Amino acid sequence: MIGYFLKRLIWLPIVLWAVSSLTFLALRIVPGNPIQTVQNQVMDKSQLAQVAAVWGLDRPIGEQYLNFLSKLFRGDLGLAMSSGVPIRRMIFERMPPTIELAIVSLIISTVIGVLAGVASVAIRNRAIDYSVRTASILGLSLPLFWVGIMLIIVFSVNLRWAPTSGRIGTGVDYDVITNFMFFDLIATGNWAAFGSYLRHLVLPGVTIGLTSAGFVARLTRSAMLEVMNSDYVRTARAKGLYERSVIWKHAMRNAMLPIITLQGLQFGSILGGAVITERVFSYPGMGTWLLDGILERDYSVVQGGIIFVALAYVLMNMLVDILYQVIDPRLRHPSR
Amino acid sequence: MSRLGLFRSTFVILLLLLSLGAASAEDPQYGGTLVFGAESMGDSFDIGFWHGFGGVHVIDTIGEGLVRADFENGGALPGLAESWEISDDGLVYTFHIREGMSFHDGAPVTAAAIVRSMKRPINPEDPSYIEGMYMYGNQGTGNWESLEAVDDLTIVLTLKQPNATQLLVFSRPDGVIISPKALDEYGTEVGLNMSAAGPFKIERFVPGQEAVLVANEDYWAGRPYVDQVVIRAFPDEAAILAALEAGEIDMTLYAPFTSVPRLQNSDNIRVEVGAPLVDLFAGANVAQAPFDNLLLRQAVNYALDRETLIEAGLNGFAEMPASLLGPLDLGFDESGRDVSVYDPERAKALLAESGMEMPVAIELAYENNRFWPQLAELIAADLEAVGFDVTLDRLDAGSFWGKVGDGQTQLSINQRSTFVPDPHDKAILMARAGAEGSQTQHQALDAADEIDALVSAGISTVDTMEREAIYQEFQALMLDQLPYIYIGYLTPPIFVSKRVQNVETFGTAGGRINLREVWLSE
Amino acid sequence: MGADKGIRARIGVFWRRYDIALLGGAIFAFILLITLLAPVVAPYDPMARNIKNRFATPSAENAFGTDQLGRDVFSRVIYGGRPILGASFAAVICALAAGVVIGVSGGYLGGRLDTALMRLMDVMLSFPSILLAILIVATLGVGLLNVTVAIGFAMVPVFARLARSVAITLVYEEYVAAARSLGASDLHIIRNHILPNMLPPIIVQASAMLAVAIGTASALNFIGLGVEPGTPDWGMMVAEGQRLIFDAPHVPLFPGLVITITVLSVNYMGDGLRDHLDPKLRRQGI
Repeated sequence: MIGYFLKRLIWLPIVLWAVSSLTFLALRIVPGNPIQTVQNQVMDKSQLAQVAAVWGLDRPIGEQYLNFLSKLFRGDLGLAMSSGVPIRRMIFERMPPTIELAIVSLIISTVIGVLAGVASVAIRNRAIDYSVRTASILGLSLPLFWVGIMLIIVFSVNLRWAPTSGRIGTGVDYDVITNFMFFDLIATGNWAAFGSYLRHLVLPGVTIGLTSAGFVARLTRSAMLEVMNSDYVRTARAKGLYERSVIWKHAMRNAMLPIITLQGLQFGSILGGAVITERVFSYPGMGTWLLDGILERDYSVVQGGIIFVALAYVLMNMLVDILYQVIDPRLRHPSR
Repeated sequence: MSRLGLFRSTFVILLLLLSLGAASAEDPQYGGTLVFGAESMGDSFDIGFWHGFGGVHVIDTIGEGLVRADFENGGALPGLAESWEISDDGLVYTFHIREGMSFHDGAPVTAAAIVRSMKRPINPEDPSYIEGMYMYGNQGTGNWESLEAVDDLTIVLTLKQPNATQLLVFSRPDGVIISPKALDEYGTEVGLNMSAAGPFKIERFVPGQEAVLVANEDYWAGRPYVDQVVIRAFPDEAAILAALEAGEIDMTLYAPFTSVPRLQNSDNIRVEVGAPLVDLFAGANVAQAPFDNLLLRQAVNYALDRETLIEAGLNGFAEMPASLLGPLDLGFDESGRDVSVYDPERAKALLAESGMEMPVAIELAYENNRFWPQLAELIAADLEAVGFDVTLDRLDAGSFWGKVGDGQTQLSINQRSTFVPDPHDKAILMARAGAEGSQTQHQALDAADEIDALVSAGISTVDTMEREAIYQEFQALMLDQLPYIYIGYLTPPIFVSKRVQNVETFGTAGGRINLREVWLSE
Repeated sequence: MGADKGIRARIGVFWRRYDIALLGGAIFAFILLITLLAPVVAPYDPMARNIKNRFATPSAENAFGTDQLGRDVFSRVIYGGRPILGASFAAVICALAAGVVIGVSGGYLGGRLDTALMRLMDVMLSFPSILLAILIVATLGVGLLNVTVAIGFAMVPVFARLARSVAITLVYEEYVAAARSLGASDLHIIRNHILPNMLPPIIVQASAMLAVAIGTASALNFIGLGVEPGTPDWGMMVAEGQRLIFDAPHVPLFPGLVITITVLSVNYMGDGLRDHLDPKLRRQGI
C-alpha cells in the first residue's frame, strides 16, 4: 500500500506540470492579452510596450514557456499582472475562503443526501420515495445562480435571516492568522465574529450543497436498493434480524465508496469551480478570482491559481484512493 | 421627452428640493456608516495598477493628489497644494503645499514626501518600485524635465513640452500621493496597506470583498460627515439589487437600470440622475472593408434610432449625443446634434450610393455584460432595417479588447468615461500613437494626420480660448469622417437610500465617486 | 374477455412498476414534440420585437408576458428548447462514448495504460470545468457547437472514472474469470459481460449529467458565453432574465420552470430504464 501511495506521489509533479502547461497554452490561444485589457486605461501608449516587455510578452512563445517553467520550478509564481500583488499572497487571501465553503457544502450535501436517500428506501412509502427523487433531481437541474438568487430573495431580502453577501459582516473586527476563519476566530475566542462568519457561510453552502445532495441521495438510494435485494439481506430478514441495523450496516458500507468518490471529485470542482455561487454571493474566493483573471487575461493569476486548485484536487484524490482501499481491500493494487 | 430635457428638469427639481431643504433648515449631520455597493473589489489599491471600479472608488475616497478635479465646472481645485502658479510658457509649475497636513499613518505631508511619491514610477531604486506599473503612464512622467522640492512646502515641476492636462492628471487615482513611511515599510506590497492623505483612511481591507474606511479626523478640509464608509463588492446585478432591497447598502451605481421605475416608488430608496459624462458610441474600423467606406459609416450614423435605443436599451438614462466630446466638456460643439440624428431614408440612400451589394454584411462586436447585449440587438435591428446584414459578435471583456487591439472588429460598441474633466480625456482616443491598437484603426483615415495634429495641439496649447477653438475644429472633423458613431451620453442612475443626503452627481456619474460632503439623516 | 383481463392486469403491473418513468417519458415526449413543432405551435415570431410593449405581464395575448425587448416569452419558450436540449444531449452522448472507451480500456486492461489514462483524467478534472468551458468558448467564440464541445469535454472524465470503477470490480467477478479461462477474447468479454453490467449505472449517471449539462449551459449564458445573442434559448432566457427577477419575474420564471420540468422528466425516464435494465432489480420486481 505504501508502495502504491509512493507511485501516486511520483505522478503528482507530472500532473501539475501537465495542468500548468495546458493553462499556459490555453491562455496564449484565447484571444486578448493582459496589455490589451488595460490599453484604454492608459494614455501614454509607449508605456504599454514597456510593460509588455516587463512581463516578457514580447518574447517568442517558446521562450515565454521556458521562462515560466523555470520560475515555476523555483516556486516563483510571480506578480499578478493586473494588480501587482504577489500570487502567493493572493492564494493566501483567496484559497481559505473557498476551502471553507467547499467543506461546508460537502457536509450539507452529505447529511441531506444520505438522509434523503435512506428515507426514500427505508420508509416504505411511494410518496416519500418520489418526493425525495424529485427533490434530488431538482437540486441537480436548477441553475446555481438561480438557486442562489432565490435563497437570497427568500432568506435575505424577505426574512432577513442571513446576509446577502460576503464572507463576514461589514465592520466586524477580527484578526487574520491562517485566514481560515474557522480556526482564527476560535483561536482568538472571537465569538461575535464567529456567529457572523457562520451566517455568511450558510446560504452559499446550501446553494452548492443542494446540487450535490441530489447526487448523494441518488447514490445512497441505489446502493440501498441493491443491498435490500441482495441474498444475504433477505436471509438476514428471514431470520428476523432487526431491519434497521441491517440496512445501516450493509447499505452504508455499500454506498460509502461511490459517495466518497463523488464528494472527493466535488471537493476538487468546488475549489476552482464555485464561480457562479461565489459571484452571486459576492464571496471572495478562488472562483471569482480565477474568473476575473480569465476575463482580464491576467496570465499569472490564472496560471498560479490553477496550479493550486490542481494540487488540492490531486491530493484530495489520493486521499479518496486511500480511503477506498481501507474500506474495500479488494481494490488494493490491481497488479495485473 | 428627450433625455436632455429630462436631465435638465430633474436637475431643476433637485435644485428646488435643495432650496426647500434649506428652508426647512436641515443641517448636515455627522456620524453613521455608509455602505457603497461596487461591481468589484480589487486585490490591492496600488495606484500603479487598474483594479476595476471598486478599487478606483476606494482610492478616490482615501486618496488625495496635488489637486482635485471639479467635474461640474471643469478645472482643478486645491488638493494637497493650496495654490500653484504656471509660467506663461506653460512649462514651469510651482506648487505651494498646505502647511501642517499629515498622512493617515502620521507621517507629515512635506514637499519631499510628495516628490518621492510622484517619482515612484520612474525610480527603480525606490523599495516600493514594481516593474510594469502601467497606470502611472497617465501622469505624463515622460514629459517631465525635472521635479524638485525646493523647500519643505514648495514643489517645482518643469516640463519638456507644455501640457494643458498636466495639472488635472494629478487629480487622477494614479495621482494620489502615498506616505513615504508606508512606501518604506511595506515596499512593493504598499497597495495592500495604503496610506494617503485623503478624507478617509483604510481600517480594514478584505481583498475581493470589501474595504472599511473611517473618517480622517485630520483631513485638511475638515473631517467628512460620515464616520465610516464601507465599499463592498457585488459582482452580480441581481445580488446588488437584493442587497439594496435588504437595506444592506446605501448607495450604488451598479444596479440594473430596469429597476429604476419600481425603486423610485419605494419607501427607502431614491434614484438620482448623474451628469452626462460618459460617451456611448460605436467605433468603425476604418482600416478595412467595409467601413473604410465613409458612405457606410454615414449610413450607420443615420440608421440609429437613438431615442428608441436610449429608451429601450438604457431605460431612458442617456442624453441624445452630439460628438465625441460631451456637453460639460471644454469646447463642446452643440451643432453635432444635427449630425447624430435618425434618418433611415438618408441611410438607405447612402447605402445605395455606396454601390455595395445589398444587404451589406457587417459584424457588430460588444462585451457580454451590463446593457451592451441589449443595445447591440437594438442597433442590429436598426441597421438591418436600412439594408445591413448584421452578425452579432458577443465577447467576454478579454476577447473584446483582444479583438479590438488586433484590429479585427468591424463595428464595435463601447464607452468612454470622463476620469478628468478635460476634453483631452476623450480626444486622446484619436491620437496617432497607439492607433493600430484602437477601436477605429484611425491611422487609415484620410484626415489621420490632421486629426492627430489637433489632438496634439489640444494639449500643447495652454490658452483656454485657443483650446476651445481647437476642440471645435476637432469635433467638426470627427463628424465629417465619422470613425465613431455616437449613441448617447449616459446619465447613469445613482441609487441611494433616502437617508443619504447631498450626493455628488458629477464625478460620480463618470465613475469617480466623492463622499467628502455626503451625510446621513436618521 | 379473459385475454383482455390478462392484458389489463399486465398493463397494471407494468404501470405500477414504471409509473413515474412512463409519466416522465410522456412529459418529455410532449416537450420534444412542442420543440420540434415550434414553428407551428408558437403564436408569434420569437424574435419579433415590440419596444412599446416591453415587460407586459402575462395576459390573453401574451400567455407568459413579454421580455425586455417586447418579445413574446411564450413563443420564445416554445422555440427555446432547441439549442439547449440539442447541445446538452450531444454533449452528454459524446462524453459518454469517449468516457466509456477510456474507462473500460483502463479498467479492463489495467497496468501502465490504466495509470496513464487515469492521470490524464486527473489533469482534465483538476482543471475547473466551468473555467475550462469559459476558455474553450472564449477561444472558439460563442455558438451552439462550441458550447457543446465545452460542456462535453469537461464531462469525459466523469464517465471515464465511473466506467473504470465498474470495469475494475467486474474483472474480479467469477463469470468474467470463467469466461477468460474458457478462452474468450477481451473484446468478447467486454461486449458480453462488462458493457451490459455497466449500463445501469452509466444510464443513471447520463441522465444526471444531462441535468448538469443543462445547468452548465445556463451558467455559460449567465457569464455571457452561450448561444448566439437573440436566439431564443431557455438557458439564455433565465440567465438574461436573472437581473429582472424583482422587476419582471415572468421573464426568467417560465423558461426556468420548463428547464426544471424537462430535466425531471428525463431523470425519471433514466431511473425507469435503469430499473428495467438492471438484472438484479428486475429479478426482484421492484
